[in-house]
Amino acid sequence: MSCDCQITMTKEQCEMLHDIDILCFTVIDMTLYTDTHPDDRKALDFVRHYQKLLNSLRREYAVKYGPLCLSDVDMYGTAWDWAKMPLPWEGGCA
Amino acid sequence: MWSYERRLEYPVNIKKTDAKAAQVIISQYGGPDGELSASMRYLSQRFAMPDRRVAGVLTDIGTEELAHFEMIGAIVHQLTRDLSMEEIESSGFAPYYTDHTVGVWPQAAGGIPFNACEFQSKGDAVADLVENMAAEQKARVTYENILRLIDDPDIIDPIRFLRQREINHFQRFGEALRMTQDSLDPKNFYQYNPGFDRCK
Repeated sequence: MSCDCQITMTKEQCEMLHDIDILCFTVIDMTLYTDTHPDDRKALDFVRHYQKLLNSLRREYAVKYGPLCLSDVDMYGTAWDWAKMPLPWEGGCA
Repeated sequence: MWSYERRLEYPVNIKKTDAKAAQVIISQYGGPDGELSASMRYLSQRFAMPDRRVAGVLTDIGTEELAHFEMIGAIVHQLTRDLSMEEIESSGFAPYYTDHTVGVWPQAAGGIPFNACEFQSKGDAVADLVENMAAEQKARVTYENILRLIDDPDIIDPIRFLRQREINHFQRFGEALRMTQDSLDPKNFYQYNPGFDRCK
């Protein structure tokens, strides 16, 4: 079942979201490593580098397509777009 | 506290409904070795951990398990959202449908509801970390059993990702156990409750 209010995602949007997925996963997995290896300088630099890339891409996404997090709500539009964004379980990208 | 990101940790895009697949995969939503058990286990155990670094591992893995819980919910939802009455009756989905329609509810593959007795928070760092290592192994086995029952590549892809995460988490819990053991009182040779006895 679907309704007219659903926004379908464009190919470009899906690709950017996919890049966010990749960067975020890199940070998630490396964070678990640094949790148990807090003195590994090389790993810490790696995490910081990818965290920076992730943060800037997430902001770029928010400006173009709407916020993924409440902290980015001020980046896009003037209406309450947070409520209108696609839900992650809809599976809009092929 | 937590903040929500409107995105799955790994994408789920299933095009074909499959009530039979949904009925086995739902076990990783609310079954004994499922993602809900995993998340509640780690997030609950944190408070009694004597080592701050280990409590950090539990926080980060427990948080990732919540994202996996959402991924499993998305899989079950996409496998059942467009089911016809005919498919519901022929696939053995009718008993679930009777109670939940096509809503997602935490239960095991055999229909047993989610239960906090599926995990422990023992207040003993070694006991809890050893349980967590076993839990990651059991979840990996469950994903492997699911993979033997599924042939749709749209389902296989995210399930393989989740299986791989069990292996990574097992590794980190092994390291967390080692960190705990390395900081124990050496006179406590058998590692009896390092968190509790420390305060006496």
